[in-house]
Parts: sequence; structure tokens; C-alpha cells
Amino acid sequence: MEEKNVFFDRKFVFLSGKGGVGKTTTSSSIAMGLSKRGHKTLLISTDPSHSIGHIFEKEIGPKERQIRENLYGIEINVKEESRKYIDGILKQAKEILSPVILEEVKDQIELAYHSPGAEELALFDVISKFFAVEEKYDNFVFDTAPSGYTLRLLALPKALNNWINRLIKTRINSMKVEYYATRNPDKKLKQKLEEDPVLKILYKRKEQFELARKILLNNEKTLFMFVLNPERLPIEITRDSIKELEENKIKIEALIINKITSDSSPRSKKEAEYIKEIEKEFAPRRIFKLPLMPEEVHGISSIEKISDILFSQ
Amino acid sequence: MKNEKRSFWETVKLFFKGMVIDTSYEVIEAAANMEKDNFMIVIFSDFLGIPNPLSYYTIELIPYFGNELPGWELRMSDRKSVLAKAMGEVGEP
Repeated sequence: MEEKNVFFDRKFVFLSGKGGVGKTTTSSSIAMGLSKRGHKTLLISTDPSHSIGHIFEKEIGPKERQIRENLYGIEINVKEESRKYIDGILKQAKEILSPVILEEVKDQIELAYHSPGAEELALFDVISKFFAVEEKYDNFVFDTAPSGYTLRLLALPKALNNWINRLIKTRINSMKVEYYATRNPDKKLKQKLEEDPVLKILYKRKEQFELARKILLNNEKTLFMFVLNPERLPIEITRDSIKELEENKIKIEALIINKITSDSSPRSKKEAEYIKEIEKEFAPRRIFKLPLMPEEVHGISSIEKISDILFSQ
Repeated sequence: MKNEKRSFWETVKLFFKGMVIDTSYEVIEAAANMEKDNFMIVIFSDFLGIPNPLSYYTIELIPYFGNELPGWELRMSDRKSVLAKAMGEVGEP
């Protein structure tokens, strides 16, 4: 009973796992269970196919919407968010730059949208926005997790922190020297530094990285879980992913084995072997087991059912 | 008599101002450009063929540096001018 608290005392719950293993179903069930026990919970889905809307039979969309008492949902399309970010930069560029130069940099801005890592960094932007408003809910449940790439960047203080700090230092230095080179400066240096849009952007990023680092690496506040099915390949993938993340100080404390069949078929027998293997291999991590539902998971009542199974373990 | 004296001091002042302050401004100006160039390398490294894994974040800064892009590209691609600049800073032998 004591161990059950694993969901309650973590402000942020992230679910990892390959597509199709049931991240959306399980995250919905965790959020449902928390809300039923009086926790004001926000369920965040980054699945572009509006899956939590389908599950709860309710249109949810990119604005927080109440699903039931204490349960709120939001669906964010990361690609759309990324597009908005790029368009904002293009607009800003249009205002400041000459048409000739705009033509030259336009492609570079556009290219960044498609650059490797862009989608992961966009997802990170989406997720970290919630870190800044953590007092709004008791719990936040994400049907996704920052990618291994992003977590690695955050876990290595040398990577992101040093990078942004050095940029800030270079910018301040550059502005200082420029100031001394100006014969009749119109403003004081301090004021210039405060008003500099470049420094503002850099400080905003620095703050974002620091906050995310503080939350994601704090396992009193944050819970990372893996969802997997009792099959050979998901086990292998989970093993590799966990090893990689834990090398970077991200603890995976729990696993959910989803879609377990329980009949007398040979498949079921094989699954039992895999479950044993998972329990042995990933001990002492907390392991939850969820059965394959007889019907497609759809509607509040089916989520409630799964949630009850999950919270009784 | 008094006027003449003042203009003499004026001349002396101007002489020293030109000798010390104006040349030092030039040196500082060169240093300021160098600092800015360094910063721009991070933002526009793609232009030099150096891939930037965080370009998704650095493009946010492009609008504020774009207007200096042509001069920067020239300085970055024209080694002679970089060398000349370095020579200018150290002082020619």
C-alpha cells in the first residue's frame, strides 16, 4: 500500500516507450486515478492525432479543458508550435532586416525548422512551459517524455549550461567594448545591457534550461516511467533506453507492462516468461501490470477501469 | 593676447586628443567588431559550413544580427583582411 504513493507525490509524471505500447491509455489512467483521489491533475498529450480527445470522447485541443472533476486535459501539436516559433522569428526578421538580407537569412531560419534535433527541442519547449506554472495543478501527467537527446543535453551541465553562459558572456563583452568605442553614448551601459533584445533571449533560454534541469533531474518531484508490452523487442528497447538515460542521471523508477493477455494460448505462456524476465531484469524498479482490455479502450468508464487496476497495485 | 593664448591651448588639447583619444577609439572599435564577429560565428556558423546542433534556438537571434551579415561574411571569408586586422591590432612592425 505504501508504495502506491509513487504517483501522488510526484508533481510531474513522464511516460516513455515506443509508439503503440499504450502511453496515451496509461497516462490517461494515471491522470484519472489522481483526479479521482482529489488531486487537481492536468493530462498533457503531444500526440498529433488528438488521442486523449478520442479516449475521453470530448474535444480537447490546445487549450486546457476540464474533462471531469479535478481532471483537465490539453492536446499540443508540437509541429504546430514549432511552426509558430519559426513564423514569429520570420516576422521579427521582416521588421528589422533589409529585404536583401531577409532573403539571405530566410532560408536559414526555415532550414532550422527541418534541422535534426529541431523536433526534440520543440517538444522540450512545449514541456518546459509547464514547469513555469507548476503551482496551477497538483500533478502533471505527460503522455510523452523529453527525448533521450534532450535529457542528455540537460544532464550534462557542460553541454547546455556552459554553452549559454559563454554566449551571454560574449554578448556582454561585445556590448561593453562597443559602448567604450562610442564617443557620445545616448544611454548608460547598464541600461543598454538591460534593454538588449539579444541578452533578453539568452537569459530566457538560460532560465528555461536551469528550471528544466532542476525539475527533470529531481526524482522527488519527477517520475519517469517506461511503458512496454510483454514481447521480445520492447524489452530490448527498454533495456537500452534505460541504460542510456541512467548513464545521464535520469532515473527510470517504474515500468508498466501493458496489454498482458491471460488465457491458455501459447502467446500467454510466452508472455508470462517475458514478464518474469522483466521483473528480474528491471528490479528493484516498481513494476505495474495491465491486462489487454477485451474491448478497445474508449470512453471515461474504460479508463476508470484501467485506472482502478493501476492504483490497486 | 588672451585670445591667442586660449587658442594655443586649444590647439595643444586638440593635438593630444587626436593623438591619444581618437586612435584609442579606433583600437576599441576594432575590438568591438572582433567581439561581435565572434558572437556571430555561433549564430551563423551554418554559413561557414559548421553545423550547429542548436540552430533551432540560435535562429531566434538572427533578426538582430542579419544587417551585419554581409560585412561579417566578407571578413570571415577574406583571410587577408582578418590578418590585416590582426596586424592592425598588434601594430605593424
